[in-house]
Amino acid sequence: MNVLELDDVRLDLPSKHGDRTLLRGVSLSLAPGEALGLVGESGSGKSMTLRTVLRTEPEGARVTGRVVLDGRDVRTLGAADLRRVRADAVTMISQNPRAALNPVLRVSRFLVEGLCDARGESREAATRRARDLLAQVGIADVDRCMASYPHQLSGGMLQRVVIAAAVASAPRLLLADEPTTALDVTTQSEVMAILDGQRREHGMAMLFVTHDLELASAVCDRIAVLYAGEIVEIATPAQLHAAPRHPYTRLLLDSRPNIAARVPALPVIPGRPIAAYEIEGGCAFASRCPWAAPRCEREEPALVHDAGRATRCLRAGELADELAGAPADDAADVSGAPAEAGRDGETEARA
Amino acid sequence: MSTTAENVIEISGLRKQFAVGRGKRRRTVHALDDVSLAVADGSCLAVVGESGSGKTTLARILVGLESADGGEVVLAGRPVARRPRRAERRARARDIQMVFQDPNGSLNRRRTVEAAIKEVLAAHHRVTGDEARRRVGELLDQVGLRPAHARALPGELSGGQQQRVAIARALAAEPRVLVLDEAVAALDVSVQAQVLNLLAEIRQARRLTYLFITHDLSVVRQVSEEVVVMRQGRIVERGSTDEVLDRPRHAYTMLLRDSAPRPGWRPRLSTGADAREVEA
Repeated sequence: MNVLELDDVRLDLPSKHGDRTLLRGVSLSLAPGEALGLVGESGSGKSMTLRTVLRTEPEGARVTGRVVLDGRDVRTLGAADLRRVRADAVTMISQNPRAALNPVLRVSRFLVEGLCDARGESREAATRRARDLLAQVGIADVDRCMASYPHQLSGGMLQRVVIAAAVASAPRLLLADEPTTALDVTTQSEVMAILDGQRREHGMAMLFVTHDLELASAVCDRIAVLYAGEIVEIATPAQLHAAPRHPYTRLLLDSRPNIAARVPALPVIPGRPIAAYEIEGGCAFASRCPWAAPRCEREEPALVHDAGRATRCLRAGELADELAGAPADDAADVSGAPAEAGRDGETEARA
Repeated sequence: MSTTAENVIEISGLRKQFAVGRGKRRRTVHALDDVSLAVADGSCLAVVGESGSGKTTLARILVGLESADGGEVVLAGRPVARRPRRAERRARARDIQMVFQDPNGSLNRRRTVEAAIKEVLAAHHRVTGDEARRRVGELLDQVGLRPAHARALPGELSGGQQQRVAIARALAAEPRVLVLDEAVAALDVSVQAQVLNLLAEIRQARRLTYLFITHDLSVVRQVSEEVVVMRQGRIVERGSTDEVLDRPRHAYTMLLRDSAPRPGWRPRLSTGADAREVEA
């Protein structure tokens, strides 16, 4: 059974300009121990998707669809059950670790209290375990860390403490929302390594929200690319890099500067990322897509599943070779497998 | 570092200390410790470092937002006084302008884009009236905004558009040097590419010199010819961008490079200790 299943989740948020749609039907599933990256730009709905899982969406938001956690629909749980889910089954790690800790309590109190409350451990046992956990997340001076207040620790150190606390309750699912975005790059690398290691060791599934496709690729089994409140592509990191099937994914990969080589001008996606409520019908990406055909403005593409991948593009089949990025001559050899699979939708004549 | 007429920025032996903490924990932090560098006219120097490296302090001293405790700054051939008078500061602002990570820091949310740019035109070049309106139109065009954006308030614009306005406003002073402090760090990937291309075009068209502060080595590769790597107030490595990124010599530069996510990358546990040992 999947740890988590989202089925056609929609979210509308009332505003003074009327209701604004932020999610337009997000469906995804997460197997036990699997890591799924939710990647997108601002307004794509990646954080909002995550928030529907613990029902922490903004007040007044209307959510429809099902969010099934270990076989139970989170959206219909009563207050007590919801509290239990939040305490035991799922843990959230956010961008700002300071928000997770009480500023007037020492780290020891924060960790030990959590263990005593949630798992009914004795103070001594809990203290021992807290120290073990801190050592596991790479904190060298455990005594000093335990005795510190949050403001005395750096962001990287605090995020380790939060990871330690997250691992402590041995949840089935970890929700991570840009957990390293506020950290320096060298600290990011370390904290990500720790998070990844702990997740694997304890067999936790993870939903990992980030704007950084490369970061997600490094620690996730599959990646869902979001645009304007819907998933436009799901694939493994290797598949995405070798042969993206949605034009947006291709352009996202290309427009990021390359650390290894300079290009005369970066390929750009014209315009700006839009939110779901700005879509005027047809494909959400059509207005920015260099491959858009007239019908892309009219017809709304569905997310088409195919051999473990999924793509939401009317022209995915005909564009497969071109998006795979192989030179025209040997496109057939290089992207053999992906191109074959892409021919499913080839009933339409190639342009 | 040799002093040549072609350098727009010359900094030598720059020092800056801050006192941090209170009571027993009070101590002195060397934000800049003997920093020297030169930037050739029309080139782009990237300053790379993490928090606490001193890169932002360097920028703030350069544009006059902060004063140094020691050392010398020569801007366009003129030595900059440590505690400049108002007129000197204004003259310096004509030579050098700064673009910050958060465009809202330099835009008044109650003033239109046009008013924000006109203010700079009037202050530095006494341009007003129809001429100012014409110049605003030109500047907006240059940064890829439409004439209609002139009447917009910052809150009505996207983050990328706001950053374009901040760039237009900086350009309005007609500076020789732009200091860009993490100016593209907060932008979405697709918008970041647009702004990076725009900055490259503007540099060419106006023969500007850039001091580009960033933590992102991919951006460094794309925008700069030369780079200095800073750590804890000191420059630990410098050279041409290709040389430093392809063949880093300092352990810290290697660590930075190895920490940057890219295809095939895996996060790694503390290699940081190596760099610290090398430093000590």
